[in-house]
Amino acid sequence: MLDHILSILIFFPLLAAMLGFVVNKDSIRAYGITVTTVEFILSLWLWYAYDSSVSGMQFMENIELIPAFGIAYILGIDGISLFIIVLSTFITMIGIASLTDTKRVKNMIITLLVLEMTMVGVFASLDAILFYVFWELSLVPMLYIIGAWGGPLRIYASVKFFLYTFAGSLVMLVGMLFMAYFYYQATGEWSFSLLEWYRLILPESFQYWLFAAFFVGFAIKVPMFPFHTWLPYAHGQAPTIGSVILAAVLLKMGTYAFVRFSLPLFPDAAVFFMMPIAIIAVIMIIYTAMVAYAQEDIKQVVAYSSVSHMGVIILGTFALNVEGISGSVFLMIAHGVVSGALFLLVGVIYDRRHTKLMSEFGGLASVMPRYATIFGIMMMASVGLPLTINFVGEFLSLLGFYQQSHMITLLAGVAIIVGAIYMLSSYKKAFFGEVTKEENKNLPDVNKRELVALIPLVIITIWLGVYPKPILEPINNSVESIVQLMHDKAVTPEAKSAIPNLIKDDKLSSNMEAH
Amino acid sequence: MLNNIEIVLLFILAISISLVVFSTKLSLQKAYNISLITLSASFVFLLQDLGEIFSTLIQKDIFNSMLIYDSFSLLFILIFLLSSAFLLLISKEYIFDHKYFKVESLIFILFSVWGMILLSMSNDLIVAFIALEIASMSIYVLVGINKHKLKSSEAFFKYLVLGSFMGAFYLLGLTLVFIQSGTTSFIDLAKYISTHEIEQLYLVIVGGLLIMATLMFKISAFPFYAWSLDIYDGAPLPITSLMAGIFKISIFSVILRLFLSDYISLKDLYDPLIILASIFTMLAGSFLAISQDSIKRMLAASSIVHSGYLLIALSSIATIGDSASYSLVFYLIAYFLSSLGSLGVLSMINSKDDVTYESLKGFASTNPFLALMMSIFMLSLAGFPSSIGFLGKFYIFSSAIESSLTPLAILGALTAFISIYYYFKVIASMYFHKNISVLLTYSNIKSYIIIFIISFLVLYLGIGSSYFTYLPGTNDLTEFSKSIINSL
Repeated sequence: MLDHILSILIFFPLLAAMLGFVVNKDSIRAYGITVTTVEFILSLWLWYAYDSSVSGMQFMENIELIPAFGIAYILGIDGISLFIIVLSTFITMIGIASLTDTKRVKNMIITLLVLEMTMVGVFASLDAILFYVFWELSLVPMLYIIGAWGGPLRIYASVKFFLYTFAGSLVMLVGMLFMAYFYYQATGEWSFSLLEWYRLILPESFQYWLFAAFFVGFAIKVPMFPFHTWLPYAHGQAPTIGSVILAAVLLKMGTYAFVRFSLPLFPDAAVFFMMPIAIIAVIMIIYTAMVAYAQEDIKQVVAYSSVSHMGVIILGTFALNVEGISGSVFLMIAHGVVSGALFLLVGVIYDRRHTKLMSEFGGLASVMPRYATIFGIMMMASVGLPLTINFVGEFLSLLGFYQQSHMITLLAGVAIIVGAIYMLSSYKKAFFGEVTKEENKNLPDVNKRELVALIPLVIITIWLGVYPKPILEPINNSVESIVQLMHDKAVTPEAKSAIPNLIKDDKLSSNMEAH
Repeated sequence: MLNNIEIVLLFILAISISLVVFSTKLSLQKAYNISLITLSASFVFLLQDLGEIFSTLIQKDIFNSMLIYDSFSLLFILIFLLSSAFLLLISKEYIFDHKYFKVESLIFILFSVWGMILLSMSNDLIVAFIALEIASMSIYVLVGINKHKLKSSEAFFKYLVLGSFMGAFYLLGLTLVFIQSGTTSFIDLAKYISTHEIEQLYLVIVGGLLIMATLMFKISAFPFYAWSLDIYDGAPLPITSLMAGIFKISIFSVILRLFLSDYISLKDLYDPLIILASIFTMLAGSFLAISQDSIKRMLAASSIVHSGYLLIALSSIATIGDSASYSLVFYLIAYFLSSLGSLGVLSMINSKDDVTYESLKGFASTNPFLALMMSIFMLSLAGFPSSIGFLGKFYIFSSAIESSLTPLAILGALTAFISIYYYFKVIASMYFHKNISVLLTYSNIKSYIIIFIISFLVLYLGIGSSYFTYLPGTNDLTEFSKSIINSL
């Protein structure tokens, strides 16, 4: 069973979703929770069985789909994808557990299960076409969630979300076709296998174009400035569960793809575009922080702050050294937990008051003390307070980029501190002061169902903030092999010098051989 | 001894003629059953020829080398028979519900299929013309069978006048080719072209251009696309599928044969024209499709866009030859499945007025099954991954890249992106609006089953599995498309 655990992880939710159609409407919630819990336990088992001393791919599966064209069903994980998979199964479980009473709850749970399949699929596939298929398929359930359960502007928001991401991925598809074609020219065989692509060393000029093509697809998904405009609409209109999964997992697809595709495939281009992208990332951090400050809707604040943090992830990724990339991968996990929790918290208050405007609240801390505490912890984590999960990731990302450019890191660091202002000020507006509105005086505090969802998130936030080693170490191992691969592949001397050479001890080089 | 295809040709012809003779005595129901059985029996009968690559001339003593039966034409014949049988099954209630469908309509459908079969087998310019006209003439009549509806009559006249007019171009081109080369046979023509210098080929080139114009007209490519919207719209829905789905494919079969066997050595001359035609076909079709309200008109316009994609494949064939042609064949299969399915779903909606985006609102809540099927076909037409439409586009774009026609591939991706807009509007209308749809649907279980089979094929062939080794999957289809090209 362990040989096919990735396939099981991918297709178990799909199968469960199919069976979901025949499940009785009243028991569908229990069914959903059971399925996602089983899935989560399976992913924990995957983590348990994962050998963290090996840096290469594990649990590989390889079935040929269209041999004539080199398309195959290749799965495999390393330290980078492992934790994002665990994160996706975890967040889906939490999301379904906290699902409030919605209309057509059966459709919602089936859709979430299908979405879970596509998420795990994206992070587990090692074939470009398979990756692309899951990548695109993930749009459909999300489109349906926003379009069918969203707010008044839902159709506009869902169509915008879909068109933006689809446009980007079509460009990416053309890039993939090119990459396969270059591979075909070099070897005489078609292949879309990522590991085989890794071996291909491309001339610089090709790398620039291909990097740009992939970049468009990934950047829209992240979303990077100036492609971020779809995200506030999507978050604004999506139901709570949609926002949670969108922020926690779907956005990570973009940053993950940078690490998985752009960096190892095009190291020279990555070095060439490092500064422009870093500048975009800093703009992203500062600009969205400022926009967030101006928001009146608390969900928009969280949405923009999440874009802001994605900027730090991008900055870390393009540090192109082990600290930066490990930090950014860690921050992906951290951001998933924290922003997921924040959207859940916004959902809690929205369920009670059916408004998200901060001016409607005030003094909630005295009415809902538990809620205010959890919100406070999560907000601190989002700000990047030491001993919380975000701090580790942000610190490492910035540390990594500090080796490339002091100036930009300084700017980004200051921006993050400034970014704390909007979070604190919105917290102040909503929670402190007098209870001004009559409706707020008798709001019930968080109930059991919400606590079940929120408490694990709080625990993880603090636990991994204090002791990140169990996650950081496997990530670090895999990132080292990617950085080494990039260094070896780089053609230009600038790239060789910008990407550190790690081969000092024998252990690593033997890992490379096995890889 | 007759071989299988001759038996089938004679069989369909005999049935059609006897239907003509007995048309006054037969009820529509009986005629329907007979046509359906004819088509499906021929399909099953021809399945036994699948397998080895072969190529035989039909009745060489009588026809010389005018008709050729090879794996290439077999694939197309199978598609025609299967899809017309599917078409009859899906639109059964449509046919019986609309009084203007008479026994004669079914005879014309049989005749048009017969013409298409002949077209895919023709190995001579004259036979190709005759076959083209047999198919077209039947379709002209079918477009106008609803004689009480103004739009339908208008479509009939437009199509008849323009079609005959363009047919004249074909004849002129044929004459020019014959004057210079002294032959109309594809085989001799190919020899003639390859053994002569360009200076000695002027009339053949001009003639080829004129023939190309006619064929471009039939597939509604730029600049001859303007007719198609009104005519597809005016025709009854099953006839629209016949035109957009099946007839178009038969034209491509003759284009491929003509192009690959004869004009391939003149590719440098024709290539820029095909590229231009494909660029403008895609753009024009997209602009038309965006601005439509009626789903039928949108699908008609989008079929122009699909012709554009197919022309991309044709221009890559011009550059790198055979290795790109399987992408065209594969796309044709993908396109026929998805367009047959989507128009089939439309024809299952019992509505006096046009089905528009507006009237589809909330369709998913009143008829979840058909809405799901429609979504699958829309996804496939848009080229969404895990559907056969995606693989079709994928092959076309990669062959374009392979033949260094990258701008075309990028433009293709761009039009695919635009197409998302109008295809997804259908899905959004069906699923995201609360208005309860007032559309009624026919409830013929057979139609539902056929629609389901088509959607299953769309997904199964799109996922591309060779996991079930005993079942033919996408890979086999790809290999098959590759191999049939060799039989040309």
